[in-house]
Amino acid sequence: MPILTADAAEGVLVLVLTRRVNESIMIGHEIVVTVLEVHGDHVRLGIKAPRSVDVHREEIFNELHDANTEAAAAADGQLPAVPAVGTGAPTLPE
Amino acid sequence: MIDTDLIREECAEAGRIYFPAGLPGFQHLHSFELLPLGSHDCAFSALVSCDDPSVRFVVVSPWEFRPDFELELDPSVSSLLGVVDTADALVLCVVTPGKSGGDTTINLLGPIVVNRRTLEARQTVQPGPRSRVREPLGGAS
Repeated sequence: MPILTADAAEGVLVLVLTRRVNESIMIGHEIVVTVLEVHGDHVRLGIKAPRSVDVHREEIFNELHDANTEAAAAADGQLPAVPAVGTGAPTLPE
Repeated sequence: MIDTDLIREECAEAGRIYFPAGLPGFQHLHSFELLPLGSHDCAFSALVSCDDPSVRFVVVSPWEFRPDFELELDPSVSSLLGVVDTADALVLCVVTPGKSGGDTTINLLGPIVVNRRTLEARQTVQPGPRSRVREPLGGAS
């Protein structure tokens, strides 16, 4: 039976369920997560998702999210200061 | 369900780059235009959202500053994109312009890979240290 527990840090409910190797869970009707292998504290997962869904390790997603947000904010201003390596400093189009 | 093929074809006809999954932090933006920045010999381009033109990224080929950069594509990503060979791909790294040139960084962890034929794109993840997400542009790797 799935159990709902409260994630104190996030303040949201977390669904907790147990699966064996080669068993899967469905997220919505298109995403399937399968436990492929369990080795000590390493778990290998297979994830089947539509093209419109990006799948990343959480910490990598957070890195890219923060870097993209920062990059977009920095490019939203006037002229970016990019080193003039051969090609000259670029100007942003209006 | 979203008809990703149809949207991609419409984007490609308009010369736009289509990100079916958006980019981390900008998952809601799927269609972008690649515009030249500065003079014609400038290596940098602007990747501008067609849905929200206030969202734009400065991008550059990683090989412009790191001739030894090697693109490693996960088989699942290359099959999703239909990119078999690096020659099929346009590779763009996001640049974060700094207050001064020395502060400017390039994201070598997550290069954007565009299928040159279909103009479908994804932000990929390269192996290596996470610090590659903010490498000084001018500095040696």
